[in-house]
Amino acid sequence: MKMKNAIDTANRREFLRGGLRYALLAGLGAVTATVAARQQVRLPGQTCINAGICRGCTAFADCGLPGALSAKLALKEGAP
Amino acid sequence: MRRLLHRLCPSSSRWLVLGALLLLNTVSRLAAEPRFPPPDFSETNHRIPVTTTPGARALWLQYADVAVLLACLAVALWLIYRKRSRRGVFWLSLFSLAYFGFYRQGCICAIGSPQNLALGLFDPSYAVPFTATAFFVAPLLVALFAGRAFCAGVCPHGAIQDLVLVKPLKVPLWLEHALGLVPFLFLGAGLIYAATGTGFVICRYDPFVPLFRLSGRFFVLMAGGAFLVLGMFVGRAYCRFLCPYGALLKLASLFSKWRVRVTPDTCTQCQLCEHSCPFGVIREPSAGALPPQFLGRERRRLGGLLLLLPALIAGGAWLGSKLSVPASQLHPAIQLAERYVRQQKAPAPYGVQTADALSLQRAEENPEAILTAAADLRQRFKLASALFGGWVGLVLGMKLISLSLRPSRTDFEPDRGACFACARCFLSCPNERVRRGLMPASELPLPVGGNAGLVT
Repeated sequence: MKMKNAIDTANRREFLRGGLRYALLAGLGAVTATVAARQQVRLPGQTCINAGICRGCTAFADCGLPGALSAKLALKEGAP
Repeated sequence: MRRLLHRLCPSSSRWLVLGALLLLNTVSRLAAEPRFPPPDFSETNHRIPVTTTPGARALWLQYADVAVLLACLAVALWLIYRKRSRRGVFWLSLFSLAYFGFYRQGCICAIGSPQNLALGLFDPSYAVPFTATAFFVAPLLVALFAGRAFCAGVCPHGAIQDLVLVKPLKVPLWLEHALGLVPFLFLGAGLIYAATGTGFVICRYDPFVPLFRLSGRFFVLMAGGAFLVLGMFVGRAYCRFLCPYGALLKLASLFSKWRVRVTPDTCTQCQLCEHSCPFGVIREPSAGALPPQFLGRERRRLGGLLLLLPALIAGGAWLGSKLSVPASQLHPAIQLAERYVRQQKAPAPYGVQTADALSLQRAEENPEAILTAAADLRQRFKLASALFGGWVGLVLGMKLISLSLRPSRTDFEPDRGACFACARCFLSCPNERVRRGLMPASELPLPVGGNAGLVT
């Protein structure tokens, strides 16, 4: 009897876990699909992720925006 | 048992490997310097042109990063579930540290990728890079089905902390529970600041990326060093108590289809696995069913907490909305507008041409635009802060509920959410050692209690 209860509890928990897993999977799919769909209608180009502050920005190395290019030029020329 | 694990990856060799990687990085940077001085054009007055447009990273290289990520995830799964090899996971994490850490310099990384998606969802002009989406989705997908394989062998942040782990100390459970909330709060803050366009705070305060790049802000570099020193005694302190992506992976792996098991056979409850885990995630078997007289009290407590949850969310949202003004002051546009208003109230002479002074002078050319943008942002922040407050309430409420639930474990098992799947515990299990032929079956300890080996 005890064993049967334990197995029932385990089955119930597995069922709930499975349901939540696929709900999360659906959420993940929805977010990805939304981002991918928006990607298609965008103009080419980049948007600054750090409000124009290049110092310490993680995207600085790969950034091709005018501000970043100026900052790179200034760094190359030895400006402070 | 511990001696054997230490022999597999002794701490001295970890230090050597870490030193070699740092040296390799420095040498590669030195090698990148020009080996010959530029020619002298002083007679012709010719100026060597300066490159103004840096070459973007080739698209195929970006696809290669994603391919490496997927391959590493696949190898990690194979090593954890099929080979059950700690040594393999260790070498894979070293490769990931070298590739994603020192070669790619921590960018692109999965930890910051939720911010890209948050900004992409709320700012129609921002194009989320394909790599950011892939780095966000792939580890989470794996976690939904097979736990935190990404943390085990693919994340460079985890790998660098594993290298410095010398003498892991046990963190008290109450402290573990309390600090375990921080990643969820940091995740919420990171998403809110990304969605409002303030900046990517998760990346900005990442303590290990400046170490990979050997440059960065002093405060963050110091934080990285402090985490490494702390990591000598507290296993993966950053992953456990700060990593926002770890919070997402923890949630996903709570519902994973498969999970790491210490032994594929019967648990003898010898507790050796519990002592082998430096992160304290092996949980002991539950005490069994509660006596009927306590059941009512437990249910009432759970019911009360479920009723409290909406109140916590609403209270958090209200408090968050009240704190929207200080929260918004991190946004540069709002900072500029506030500086402009202060300047108008009490004009101060412009001194040195700093960036702040220049931006203020430019703001004076079109103050309407700056003030309107700041007012719009303040409105957005009101909603964002309320959402963040609600998120804090939800996190606290869910934590209280999870603490009041009684787990049903019959054996020593890794915690589904907290386990990094690092495979350290495998060889600590006598059954596993017998299975691999490392120990005769006659030396196996006898199972303790009547519930050993029950399927849960």
